[in-house]
Amino acid sequence: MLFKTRVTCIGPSPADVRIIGTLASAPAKGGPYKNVARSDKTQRVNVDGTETVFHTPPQGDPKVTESAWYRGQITAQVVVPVPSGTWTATSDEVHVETGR
Amino acid sequence: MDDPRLSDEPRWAPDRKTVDWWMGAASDKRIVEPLIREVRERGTDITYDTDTYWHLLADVAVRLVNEDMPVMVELQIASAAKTKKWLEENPDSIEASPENARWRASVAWLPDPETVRWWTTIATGDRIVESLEEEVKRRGGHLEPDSDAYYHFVADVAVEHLYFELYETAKEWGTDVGRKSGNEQTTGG
Repeated sequence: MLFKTRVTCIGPSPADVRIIGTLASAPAKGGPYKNVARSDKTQRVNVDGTETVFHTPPQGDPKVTESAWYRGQITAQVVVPVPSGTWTATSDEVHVETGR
Repeated sequence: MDDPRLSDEPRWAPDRKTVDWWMGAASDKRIVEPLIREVRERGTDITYDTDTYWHLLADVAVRLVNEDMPVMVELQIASAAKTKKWLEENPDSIEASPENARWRASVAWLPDPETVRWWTTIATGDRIVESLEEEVKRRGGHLEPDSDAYYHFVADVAVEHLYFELYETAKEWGTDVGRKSGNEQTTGG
């Protein structure tokens, strides 16, 4: 299971964007949710309309494989060249059946 | 390219920044249309859910992802050139700070050609065919095969599974993938 955050930027120059992502699971729709993965990564995002994808959990961390309801949340910030405030966003809840 | 694991020569390893860059920049959206076109053209005589079908799907998806790699490199080259020009024309537009100095120094970063060549040489449909079939059946079972939504899902899964393959294979070839906690600075830095 991967929670993907797709980031595009507009502006005169590429920006380094920091995304802190959490993936949470719950036994039923509506929760209670418990965090099962976290990522904190800064990547260069170009301004040509192309997406940069951030993954939660990040590569190298344990995979999330259980059947459950899932919800992702992010905090986003432009780090350089001009630091921004932060934004948060929450995904829809989705049920994933993994066979486990 | 010979497998460096079999040689006594100093080991070449895939460039970590290039591996990270690919993970962030690989686009399932750019391969969807050609995937639909090619599977429909080549799959007319192939029965859905046979080994032949899944191999066709995996082979086409991986080849399209590989063919997209030069497009990604070109986009990166264009972005670096555009940014360099903009910085030359607007020298005082970015506040002087250590962070921005590092950023300025890294805007011209480009993927390592050797790493790009390495991955496009060894990435084949065989690497993902089993996991692609398993996940498409499990998570995409509600989608009508051959529908546009189905192919969007297949493209997303194919890129995702190649992403895992690239990372694990780079590790096997000696890439220091580092740790995974805290704020990780990666691409272009």
